[in-house]
Amino acid sequence: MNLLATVVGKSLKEFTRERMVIFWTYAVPLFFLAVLPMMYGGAPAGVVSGLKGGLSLTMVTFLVMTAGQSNLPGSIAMDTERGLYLKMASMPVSPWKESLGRIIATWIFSLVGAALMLSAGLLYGAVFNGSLTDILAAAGFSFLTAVASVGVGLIIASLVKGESAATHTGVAMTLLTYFLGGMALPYTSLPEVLRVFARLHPITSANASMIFLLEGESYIGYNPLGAVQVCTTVASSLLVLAVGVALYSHLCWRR
Amino acid sequence: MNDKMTSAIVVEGLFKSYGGLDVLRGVDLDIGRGEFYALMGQNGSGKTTLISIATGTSPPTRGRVEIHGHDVVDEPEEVKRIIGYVPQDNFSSPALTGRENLVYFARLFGLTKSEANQVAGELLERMGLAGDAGKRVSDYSGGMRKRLEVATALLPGIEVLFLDEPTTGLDPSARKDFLGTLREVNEEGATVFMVTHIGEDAEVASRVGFMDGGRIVLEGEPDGLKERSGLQNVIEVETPFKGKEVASVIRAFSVDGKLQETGEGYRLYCEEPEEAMPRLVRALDGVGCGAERIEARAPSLEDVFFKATRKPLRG
Repeated sequence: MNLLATVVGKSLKEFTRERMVIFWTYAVPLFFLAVLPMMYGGAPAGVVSGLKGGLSLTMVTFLVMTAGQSNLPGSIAMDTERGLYLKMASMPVSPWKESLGRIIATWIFSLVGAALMLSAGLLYGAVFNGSLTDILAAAGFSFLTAVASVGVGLIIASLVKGESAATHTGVAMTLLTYFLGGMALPYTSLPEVLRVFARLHPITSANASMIFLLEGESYIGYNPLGAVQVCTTVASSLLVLAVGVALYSHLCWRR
Repeated sequence: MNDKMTSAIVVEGLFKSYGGLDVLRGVDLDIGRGEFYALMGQNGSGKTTLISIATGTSPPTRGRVEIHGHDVVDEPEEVKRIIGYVPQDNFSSPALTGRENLVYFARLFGLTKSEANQVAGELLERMGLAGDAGKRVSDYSGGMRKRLEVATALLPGIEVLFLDEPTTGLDPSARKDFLGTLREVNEEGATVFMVTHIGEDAEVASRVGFMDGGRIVLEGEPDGLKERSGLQNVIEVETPFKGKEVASVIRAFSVDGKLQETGEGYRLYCEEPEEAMPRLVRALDGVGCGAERIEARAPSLEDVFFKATRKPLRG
C-alpha cells in the first residue's frame, strides 16, 4: 500500500501541475462538447438531448483515451529519459506495484475528468435514460475503456522512445480511434471494414455499449450487447492491459 | 582474498559484453568501508557499465560484485537496502517540490509517511536546501538539484553511495560546494564510489582508479599516483595554428619527447618550465607561430591518466 499510494500521489501531482496535460485532457473534450451540438440544429428537442447525452459519453471516452494513451506514456517516457527507472531499479521497488500505481493514478485522473464532463453535459441539456442496472453496466463499460486505454498507453511507453514522441503517438492513436471507430461519425455511415474495426476495438465497442445502454440503439446503429460482442470487448480490454503491463515491466525497467 | 567485514565493494573477474562487444574485460576491485573511491576513464571505457552492474541495474556477463558481503545478483534485496545510486541524469521530478521528491524516494525505499517526512526534513537541512524545500525542482539550479538527488542516496540504512558523473553540468562554484558535501558524507562514514572523467573531481577521493578498455589499469592515492608517474611540471601552449613543424619545435622541449595535442594547442612535460618557457616562445616566434598563451602548472590526475593510457581524459 505504501508504494502504491506513493506512486499514485506522485503521478497525480505531475498530471495536475502540468497545464498542457489539463488542457488536452479536460479542456479539449469540453470544447467539443460545447461546439459539436451546434450541428444538431433542426433536430427535434428530444433527439437533441439524446445526441448530447451520447456526445457526453463519447467525450468521457475521448478524455479517458487521452489520459491513458497520451498522458500516461508521456509521463513514463519523461521518467525514462531522465533516468528515474535506473534509480528505481537500484531501490527495493517492485515494477509490478509501480506500474499499478501509475495505472490507478491515470484512472483517478480520468474519473475526475469524467465527472466533470458528465456534469457539463447535464448542464448543457444532455439526457441519460436507463435503469440503475443500465447505469452501473455503462459505468462498467466505461471502466473497460480505461483498462484498454492504459494498456495501449503502456505499450506506447514501452515501444516509443522520448516524451514528445510517446505523447504524440498517443494523441494520434486517440484521434484514429475516435474518427475511425464510429465515435465521431455514425456507425451506419462507416464502410464495412471500419464497422469491423469499431466492433473489435475494445474502446469503441465499450463506448458503443455505454451509449446503447443509456441512449438506445438508434444512437449507435447496432447492438453491441450480444454475448459474443461483450465477451470480445471484455477479453480484448484485459488482453491489451496485460500486454501493456508485461511490456512495461520488461522494457521500461532496464536490467 | 577480500575481508567481508572490512570490504564495502568487491569486484572479481567482471566481464560484460553487449552484442559481442566486450565493455568490461576482467575488472577486479576491493574498496574498503568508509573509502572514497574515484574511478576515472574516458567516455566509453566501461565506467557506467561497472556502476550499473554494481547497483544491480544490469547483470554481468561473467564475474561477481559483492556489496558488504552480499552478491548483487543472488541477494539483490539485501544490496538494495544498503546502496544509494545517483545516476548521471537528473532523475528528480521537476513538477514536485524538493521536499516532495525526497518524501517520494524515502517512501519508495520503504519508510512510512511520517518517517519519510522526518527524514526529508533532516536531509534537506543537511544539504542546505531547507529554505528551498517548498520550491518546485524546476526552479532549482543545477547544483541544488544535484544536491537534492544525492540526498535521495542518504536515506537511513544506506552505507554505500554510487555516483555516476555527478558534477556534469555544474558550474565551478557549484561543483566545489557539491564535492565538499560529498567529502562530508564520506567523513561521516559512508563509502563513496564515484565515476568521473574530470581529474579535479577525483582529487577529493582517498583512492583513484584509472579505467581503460574495460579494465582498471592503475590505482592509488591521488598524490601517490602523481608521484609515481614521475611527471614533472606541465606546460600548456596555445598556438594560432597547428602543424608538423610547430609540433616538432615544441616537442624538443618535452622531457620525454612526447607531446599531447589539446583543443587549442599542445601539452608537454618539462623539468624546469621557468627556464624553458622563454626559449619555447622564442623558438615558436622563429617559425612564425607566436604562442597565444603559455603556462606551467603541477601535473594533475588527468596528466597521470594520459601518461598511463596515452589517451586524454577529455577530448
